[in-house]
Order: sequence, then C-alpha cells, then structure tokens
Amino acid sequence: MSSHREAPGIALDPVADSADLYAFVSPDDASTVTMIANYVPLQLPPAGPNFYEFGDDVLYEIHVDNDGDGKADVTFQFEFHTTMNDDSTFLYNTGQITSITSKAWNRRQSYSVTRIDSKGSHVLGKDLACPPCNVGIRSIPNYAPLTVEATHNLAGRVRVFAGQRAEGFYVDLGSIFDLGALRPFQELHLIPLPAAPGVNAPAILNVHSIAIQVPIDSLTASGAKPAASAADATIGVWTSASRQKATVLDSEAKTSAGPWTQVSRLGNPLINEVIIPMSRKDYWNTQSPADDKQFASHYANPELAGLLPVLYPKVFPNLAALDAAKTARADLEAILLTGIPSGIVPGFQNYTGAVQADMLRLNVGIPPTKKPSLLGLLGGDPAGFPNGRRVFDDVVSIELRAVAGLTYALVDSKYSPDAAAGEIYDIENPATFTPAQLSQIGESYQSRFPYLSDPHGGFQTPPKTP
Amino acid sequence: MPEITRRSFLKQGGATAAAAGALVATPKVLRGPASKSAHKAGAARTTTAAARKATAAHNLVVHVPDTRTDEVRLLVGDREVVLHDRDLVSRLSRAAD
Repeated sequence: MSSHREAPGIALDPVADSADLYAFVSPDDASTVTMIANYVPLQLPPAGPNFYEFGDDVLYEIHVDNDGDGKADVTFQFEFHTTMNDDSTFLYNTGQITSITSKAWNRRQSYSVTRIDSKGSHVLGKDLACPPCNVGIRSIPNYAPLTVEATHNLAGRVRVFAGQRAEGFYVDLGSIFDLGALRPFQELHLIPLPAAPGVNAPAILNVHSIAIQVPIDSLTASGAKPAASAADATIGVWTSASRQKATVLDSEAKTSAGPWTQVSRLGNPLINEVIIPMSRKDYWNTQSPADDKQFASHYANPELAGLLPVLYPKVFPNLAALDAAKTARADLEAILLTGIPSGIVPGFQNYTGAVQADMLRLNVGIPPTKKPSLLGLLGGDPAGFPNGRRVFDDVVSIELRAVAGLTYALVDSKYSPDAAAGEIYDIENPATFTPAQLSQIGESYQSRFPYLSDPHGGFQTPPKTP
Repeated sequence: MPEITRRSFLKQGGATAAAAGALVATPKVLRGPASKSAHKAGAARTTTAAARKATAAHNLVVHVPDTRTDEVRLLVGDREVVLHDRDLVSRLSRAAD
C-alpha cells in the first residue's frame, strides 16, 4: 500500500507507521494548504475491547521545506495523551457516546500541536480532543457530529483534526503483491488467470489521521502566496514519527529516555514500498530527505521497471529495451526527487532545485481543479499527484504508468512508451472514473476538512472476503 | 549482586561519572534528528517533547554499547550524553557480572 507496513521494522510498530501523506491546496479554501498524515494502518473496524489510538510515546511530525534543500523550515509536532474516566471497567465506553465530552466514553486521547520555524517553537493548541473510534451504531448512533466537534479552529486560521478516519487509499493489495498481478490484465501475466475486476483491499478499513490546514502564506519562504510560475511556488512536505532512544519496561510503567529517533517517514507514496530494496527499508525510514542522494540509484533504475517486462511478456518491449540499456530514469528522478522543471509539461512546474530529496512537492500557486482527474498530472490535471497528493488521487496507477515508461518520453522525445504503459491500472480505469464514482469500490470522501470520511463502524462493518 | 551492593555501586558510579565528566574534554550531547543537521527547524523541536517528558527526566538510562570500549551513553530526558571513561565501563561491567 502507499506506505502501510512497508518496511520490516515499522511493520512491527503500527502506531508509528506512517501510512499515507496528502498535501493539496484546499478545494474549499484556496488560500490554504491541507496536509494529512495517516498512521496506524489497516484497522479492522470491529476492534474491541481495545480500539486503535495514537502513541503517547511517539512524536508525530509534518515537515515543510520551502527553499528546496530537503530540510524542514516549518515543522508541526503532534503529541498525544491518553486518559481513562473509569479504571474499573474493561469497556471502551459504558454507554452511548453522543459527544466528545460524553462521560460514557472511557478511554480518550487529546493532543497538542506545536509549530517550529526559524522564529522558534510556538504551541498552537493543547488539550485538543480526538474523536472516539467508531465502535458501532449502538455506542455511537451518529458519528458525523463527533467529527465536527473534534475539528479545532486555532489562531492564525489553522484548523486541526486528529483521529480515526475511513481509509481513503485504494489498491488491489492482494493481487499486486502476488507476483505483480493486475487483475484486469492478468490474462497477460506470466502466470495467467482470466481477467477480473480489481479488488479494493482497504475498502472496509480505517486509519488514524493527523490533519492540519494552514494559510499558504504561513508556509512559503516569501510569506506570500506565490504565482504558479514563481521559483518559490513549490513546497516539499513529508511526515515522520520518532521514538525515544531507550524504553524501559516494568510492571508499573513504561519509561522512555533519550533523544527522539526517527523510525518512520513518508513523502511520495509507494517509495519505501516498491523502490527501496527490503534490506535498506528500515534504514531509509531513519533518514532525512536532505540525505536522499544516497538512494538515488534506486529511483533511477527501479527494480519494478525491470520486472514488468518479465511478468507481462511481450507487453512492454520498449520498456524492456530501456531496462536492457540500463538507462537512468531521469523522469522518475525528476518526479520523485527534485520536482518537474518548467518546460517539460506545458504550463507546469514543481521544481525545488537540484537537491535530491523525497518530498511530496506541491506548487501552491496552482489552484484546485473543479473537475479533477484521478490520474492527476498524467490526466492533464495539474492540481493532482505528483503535484502534491489529494485524497482521491489514484497514486498506484499513476506510479505504475510512470515506472512502466509513460513519463520517460518527457525527457527523451525519441522514446515511444509501450501502449500498455498508458493503460494499466489495478482496480478501475482512472481515465474514465471520477472521484465520486470511487464509491463503487467502497471509497468516499468529504468535500470539507478533514476530507477523509468518517470511519467505518465496528458493528456495521463485518469482515468479508471478496 | 545483593541490592545494597548495587546501590553502593551506583553511588560510586555517579561520583565517578561526575569526575569523568570533568576529565573528558567535551562530552558529546545528542538531541535526536537535529544532530543529523536534517532539520533547520530542529533546534527547538525538543522543547515540547522535553516538557511532556518532565517526569521522565528523572530517569537515567546508562547504555554501554560495547564493554570492550570506553564509551558510555547516558540517556536522560530527551538528551544523550556520550562519555569516554574506561574505568566507568569496567565498574559497570563488574557490577553486571
């Protein structure tokens, strides 16, 4: 998945596992940027008696680089605190939860938000309530008002939300990691099966989201909202989770000590998932984008590009030739490590300079699109991935097509992409599907902050096997 | 090792560590990712973490990565202090036997 359980180490630590990162100019307020960092992936809604929560011992951060050096100029820190109302019961809630202040809700979390920039550290909010997990319709008969209550408007036109959401990322997880199979095209696979509709594995799952909406001019180097063509129009965004270096366990308490040590990070989707070799994934998670030059060879010659012609014989002959020539994929390096300079895609740029850093690059001068394409920039929609990432962007199909050679023609006009590179997808054809139609595969989104939908309820979401 | 002996040792060790601190020219203090120069905004990033962990600041974890060397790492609050004191490593090693 985007970055769910993507490395051996962090797969054992879901509370600190950064799963998805979104950054986009807010569609309902184009003077702001919304950033969403998801953690605690792959939550099955019926999870009692101990429902999911953030880690009190984890430092969650969302970073913004506004001058292209891969280092944070603005960091938002989120720190959580768990309390219980009643230590005599085994129950998460002892009655209905109709408000985030309901006394029947036994175990709850609150958090602080701190902004760190060149001027120092500023607490933006503290004791901010998270909503409960969606236990089920008896415990929480109406979830939507809880989301509204748990959306906090802070000074400086900052808006935050932290809590459980429906997983907005869609992928045919079971098929893709079964030897790279794409069900709609699997009759062409090396081990063929009849073509079949894709299956959205996370359709009934939840995740924990940290969402923050801030004015654009509070993130840019100039302190203003730049024009899309401006050199400083693009910010780089990534999230990280850190734990203290030592933890001591005893029967009474768990104590941590020492400096915060990064255990997870996420910029562009699917990178540590399928670009970085398994032997380096845990290490990649500890590194900063500023040091990503050390991984550049994996972006330039991704293993997946070599596998596609093998797994789909005769489908990708031009890609196979590109691989055989050991051609460095300058297109992927640009898209994922530096941004796309002007002059490559007419009217578009999200270049941040020569420093190779895996960040989600967002040109904040590009307004939201009224009729967005799930294919983002590949679909002629400059407001979508890889210009930032919206909640509904089909990043799996976009990156599959890019790796398959579709975008190599941007840097070599003599190269002719294989026809399949412009057609492959894993679930539904993103060229013909709209965000609203994603409801057909179990995904829906909110039109306003925090944009990801209310979580699936435990009672009303039985496990199912497609 | 009987508890009373361990306590005595820790008292001794604390005194030794203090003395060693004076002997070691510049004990290195590490504060997490900021030490990697990854975060320009990182200089202050430990501030709130330190506040949150105020109670934990009274804990001190001593880590000797390799008892064959002279390196001792002290983890306290959100800091890591690196000492180089062969005598302290020897004392800790003997206490652990």
